[in-house]
Amino acid sequence: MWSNLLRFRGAFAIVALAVLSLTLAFDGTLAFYIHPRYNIFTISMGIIAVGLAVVASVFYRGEDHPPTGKHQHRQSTRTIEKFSALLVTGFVVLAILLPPTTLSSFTATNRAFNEGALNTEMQAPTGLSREAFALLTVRDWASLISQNQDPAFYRGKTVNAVGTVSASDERDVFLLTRFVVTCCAVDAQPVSISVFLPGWQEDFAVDDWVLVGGGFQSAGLLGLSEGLAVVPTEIGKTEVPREPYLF
Amino acid sequence: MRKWAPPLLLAGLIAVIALRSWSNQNLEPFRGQLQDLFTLSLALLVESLPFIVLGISLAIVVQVFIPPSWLHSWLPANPFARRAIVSLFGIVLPVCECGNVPLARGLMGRGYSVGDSLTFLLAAPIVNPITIVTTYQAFGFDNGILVARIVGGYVIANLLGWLLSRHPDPEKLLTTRFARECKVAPAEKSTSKWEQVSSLFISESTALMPALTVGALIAGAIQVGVPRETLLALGSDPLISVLALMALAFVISVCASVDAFYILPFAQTFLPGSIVAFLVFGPLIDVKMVALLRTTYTMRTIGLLAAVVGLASLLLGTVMNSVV
Repeated sequence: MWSNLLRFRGAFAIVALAVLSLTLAFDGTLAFYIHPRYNIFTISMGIIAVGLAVVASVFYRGEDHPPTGKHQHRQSTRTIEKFSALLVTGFVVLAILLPPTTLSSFTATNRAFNEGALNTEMQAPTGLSREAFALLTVRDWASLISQNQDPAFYRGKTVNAVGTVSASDERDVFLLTRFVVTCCAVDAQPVSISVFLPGWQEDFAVDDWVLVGGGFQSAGLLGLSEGLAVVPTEIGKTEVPREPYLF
Repeated sequence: MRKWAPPLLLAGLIAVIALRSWSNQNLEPFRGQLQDLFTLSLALLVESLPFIVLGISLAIVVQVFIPPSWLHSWLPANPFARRAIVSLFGIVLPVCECGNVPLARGLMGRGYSVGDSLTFLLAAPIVNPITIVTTYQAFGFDNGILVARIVGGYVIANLLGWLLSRHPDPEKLLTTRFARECKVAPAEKSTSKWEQVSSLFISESTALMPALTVGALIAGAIQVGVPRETLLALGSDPLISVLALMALAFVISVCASVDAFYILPFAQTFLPGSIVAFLVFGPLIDVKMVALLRTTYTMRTIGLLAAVVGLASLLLGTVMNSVV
């Protein structure tokens, strides 16, 4: 039993993770982990991995040449193998059992907000109707704010953005947050805009997905320390978007 | 294999699908630090897995379906010229760095020297056309970042290949297990092609997947444990900024084919040499790669590799910061 588990631990891991990737793609939750441009490649390679496993299950004959070497070295190698087999098995079982989820506000706070993922060439859609602004994402708004903090520019322009709730330094303000992903969740960079809502803690928990509608006001008018914040005219919890990260 | 293996595999596949379906409906994810560690590690695994499968598949093709004589016949006998050509294999085998590990193992299984295979392993992710195109899309020809990356990576790979080729006993650069596997190539053990394919799939996945899983877990833990701004607060110093971005590249373990997009937003904060050091060092040495390299090379070899690549990247980055 042990020897079989040890011998096939890699094949077990590769097939289980391949099937997991395929089920994530089927659920539409692969985007919780990787950029959608990799979906077809991931699915194709997952199918090939399963195919190779099927071939191996039929044709594999086992090792003809058992390992040789000093007894003590074999002992320590086997201990490492057992440990890695347990670790891989535990991780794969957890990966299968735990429902897919996105990164939380812990990572958003751990990485600097609005440091690396802003679109520095973002052009405000000045020539378009005000409704066009309602289509902007959290990243778009954060990019605009990084370039222009004049409250007059934002007057009458409507925010209609989805994101998660992250706590801020100001008691009456939370950060509407999204992650921007280049390749996979590992490189996710948080972007956020401030939302002024006294007592928000009573209605929302950190990491809740919310839809915020409203307009910007300057911090001075709201009694805040700096910048601009959205004053919501409508706000409510919402489902996790199909693509929770911005790409 | 035993007769019960195919039905057992089928039962396992059905069980995984059923468990996923059940857990989606009945379990709630937990939130916070631990969940993020898990999500980050799983993201790294899901992102790397297709490249590992592709790398194993190519290694199988190289070892089972391509005659050994063909792999050697058209390569120059001169070691410098041979490594110069081997380090361009990445142009026609556009696999990410983790997928190159099984392929490099396959090349050694087919008689390539340690120096040759390592030259391929280090150069391939940087001369990969996808990497070149994405780096061009991100930076164009600004500040010589693209050219410095390609030339720098190519030279460092050949430098290391030359260094390792001077070792009096190259087999000692490899782990005992892998050196033994090279001596007894699966192709010699098995009779049919399908048995060889099976044997290679089992041995390569067993060598690589535990290492990749451990590497992904460590990378996830470091990402959760080390605040990003600690590294990024060092952007304007010509030397420290290079070290900071090399440390960042080591920690995040992002693929070479997209790392240019990842680092692009930092180009305003960091000097061009630091960006180049990130782009050259990251594909060669990071947490995930060290774990994968450990399946094949001794810690001493990996230490030498990390030291040479690190010093060369540091030198390249610092000189660029002084000149550009």
